Amino acid sequence: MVKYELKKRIGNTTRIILYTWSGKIGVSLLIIFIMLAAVVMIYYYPTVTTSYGRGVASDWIYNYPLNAPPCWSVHNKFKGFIISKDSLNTTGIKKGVITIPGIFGPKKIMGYKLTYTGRFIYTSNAFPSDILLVTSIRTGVNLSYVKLLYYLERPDGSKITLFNSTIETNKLILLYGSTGSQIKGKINLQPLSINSINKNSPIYPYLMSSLQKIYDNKVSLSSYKISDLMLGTLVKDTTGNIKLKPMKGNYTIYLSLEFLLEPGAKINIEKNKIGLEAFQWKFMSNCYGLFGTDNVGRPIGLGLLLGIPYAFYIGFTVTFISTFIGAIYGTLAGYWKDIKGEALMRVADIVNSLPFLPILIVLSYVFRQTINLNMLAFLMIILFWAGPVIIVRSAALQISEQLYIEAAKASGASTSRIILRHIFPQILPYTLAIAVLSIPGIIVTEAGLSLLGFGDPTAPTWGKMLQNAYDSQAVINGWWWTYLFPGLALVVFSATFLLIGRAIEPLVAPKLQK
Amino acid sequence: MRWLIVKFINLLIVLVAVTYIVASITSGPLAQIQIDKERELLQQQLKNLQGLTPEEKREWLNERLQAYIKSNGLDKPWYVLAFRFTKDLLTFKDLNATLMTTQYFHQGSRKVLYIIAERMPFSILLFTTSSVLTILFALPLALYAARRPGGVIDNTVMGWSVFSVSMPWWWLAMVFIYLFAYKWHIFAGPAAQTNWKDPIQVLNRMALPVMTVTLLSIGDSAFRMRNIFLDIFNEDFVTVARAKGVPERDVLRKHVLRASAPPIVTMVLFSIILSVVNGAIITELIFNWFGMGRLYWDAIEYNDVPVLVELTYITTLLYLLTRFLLDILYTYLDPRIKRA
Repeated sequence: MVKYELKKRIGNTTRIILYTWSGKIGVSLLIIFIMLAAVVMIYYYPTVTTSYGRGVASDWIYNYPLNAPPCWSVHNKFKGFIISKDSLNTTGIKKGVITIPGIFGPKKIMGYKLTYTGRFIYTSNAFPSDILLVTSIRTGVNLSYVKLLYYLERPDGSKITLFNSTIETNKLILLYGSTGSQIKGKINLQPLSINSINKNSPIYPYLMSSLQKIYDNKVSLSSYKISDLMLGTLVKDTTGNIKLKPMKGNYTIYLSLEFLLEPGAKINIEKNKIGLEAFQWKFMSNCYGLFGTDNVGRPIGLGLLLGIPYAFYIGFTVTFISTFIGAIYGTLAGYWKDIKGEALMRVADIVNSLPFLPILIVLSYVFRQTINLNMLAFLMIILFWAGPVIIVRSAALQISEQLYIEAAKASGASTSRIILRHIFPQILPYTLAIAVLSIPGIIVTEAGLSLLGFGDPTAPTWGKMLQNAYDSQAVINGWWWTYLFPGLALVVFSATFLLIGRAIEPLVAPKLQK
Repeated sequence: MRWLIVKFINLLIVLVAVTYIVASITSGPLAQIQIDKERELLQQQLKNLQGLTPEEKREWLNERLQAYIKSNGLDKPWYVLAFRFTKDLLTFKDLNATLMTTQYFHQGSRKVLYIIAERMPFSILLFTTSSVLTILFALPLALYAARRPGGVIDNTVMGWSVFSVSMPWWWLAMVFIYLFAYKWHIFAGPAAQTNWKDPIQVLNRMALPVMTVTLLSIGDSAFRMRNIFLDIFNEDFVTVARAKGVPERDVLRKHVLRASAPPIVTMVLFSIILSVVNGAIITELIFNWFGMGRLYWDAIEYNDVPVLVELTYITTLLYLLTRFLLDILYTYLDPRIKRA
């Protein structure tokens, strides 16, 4: 009997929710969000989530461009490409005349030479967001002298030298790559980002002096990205301003090794593996996907996805626990018509008139060292539980005056039985509406606290993304995609519950149905 | 009269409770600040003392410090300490900031009350302006929407109210700053240098925050006003007035508006207070607006616990007082309400 009643009630509720347009939109959005959350929990949790939450640049910048806007917003797109070791042409080791420095000036001598050349045609009107370099060279044990020449030849014939000097023999030389740690004999190379190049890097002096030569003090080099300067040329536009534009045409990457053997040694290529060990030039695209990337290279779209389970978690935990507490509390306050009920109401009044945000800020300031998502939820529950008490109490007051309650009382039912069995089920729809309607507030509050720096430091919530955007001064830097999309996600998520709540409202307060 | 007394007692209880909670969670740092100050003083005195070995000096300092801590009761457990700090706060005893100083007012004073006082006008200026604008826009919108439920205006108001409630205000602020200050260069951005004595510069600086806050509060205000109007349109006295042949303009002005004034005035004023207390903190931070909301942020940045505590106390006080006054106003405006 009870089961049938419940089934009927749930069926009615669903029908009424789906009857209105706001209910239809809300429910379909909710289903989409739930599905996306499930996808995230299955595929991305916890590894991707953790590294996204940590936000360490080295996890991301080698695979994603930095601060790249969404591709649909960029007029001049540059699609990234890679020049790998396989696409290089090599001459192999050949005997020939090489020039070595001597005491009385350079002298020519018979030695060995190994050259690699790689060609690419640059056709885009836009610059890459960065160039990531990997170059590591292995030299042999029986070499007495090795010289490396490494440059990029541009379509106009000018050269950008990356290296032009002797290098140590008998060693694996990792020229470009921030760390060259060897793991089980395999080289773990992290590429060098040309734009964030360190002044101590071996290529820095060569690169800078050749750029200086090309641009000849016409522009200040520090106001451009290095990768732009490498591929760019100065062009006067129609208004007479000088601008940096990409130089289109054939580029050649040239790398040559000249070396001498130790006296009496024989060259053994198989054993020594002289030559390039690893090589890559990765031109990063100037845009990324539908949503772009942030200032540590994290794709915003991925963050939007990862934030969904957290939004559900914080919204549902806080609302349902606090509404449940508030519902029971309000029922009791309505059921007890004596001093007990009055006292309960006074306490709820006090909690309700607390200024929430200031107190939350002070609380999270004090606990800021140890704060995590659960604690944040707990703090919010402490402050928000009294929200539904007044409405629930007035409903409970009405219900407890019904005859069947009197009858139950007369037949000797205990207080807990009356409340749980007779009053509470009647109040549930009210509390459901209240709970659903208060979810947006909770999520917005969490985002606000995150912005102030009191969010969970490891959870990639939308609030954290907004905080990251704010901290990296995205507004001034013009990286609008870093805060527009997380904010929109928040709005859509909150609006989902608001729409459903508005659809439920007529169930609760039939007066508004007119 | 009884309800007024009950409300007032309620106010006092809430005020004491909030202050006690805030004081107890910050009692540790607050006590430490006092001890540190005393230690500095003692070290100054110690410099003038001569003929003491370092050992003796340390002992002398420790002795005095322990005596100071004992005599001031700073070694008591937190809940006892919190009582003292609560009393200090409730009686507006002079609290000094550890690092922050006033910037425009009482040149470089450390007094927390001065620090808060110099910021207050900024917050009031911003939020009163936007509230007045909100009412000016929301009232006609709501009236129009209520007269044609389900119409274009009504649906727009409903839709916008959904968005404005589910949106973090400071997020829209970020978007607006980007668009209006950095992209189109229409208004001054948050980083602009503003001479607060030049009204045109102030207006230029105010434009964006006022626009954001107004636009967002219109959504919620108009929706609530619409519901109030809808209820009143369906009341019997409106039907009677129409049946009597009262011109529609007079129905609106004399019957509907008069009857809806109490809830609307209270609702609007209350939402303003709520926004000053709750929403403004982050909005002011984003707009770099030198108000009370940003003071929270500044206090956190400087780790200035006294400022944070006193500021929370003052905001709570203002919030509760306004709520109380609004309650009185409501009964004054609506004589039908006789509270038990």
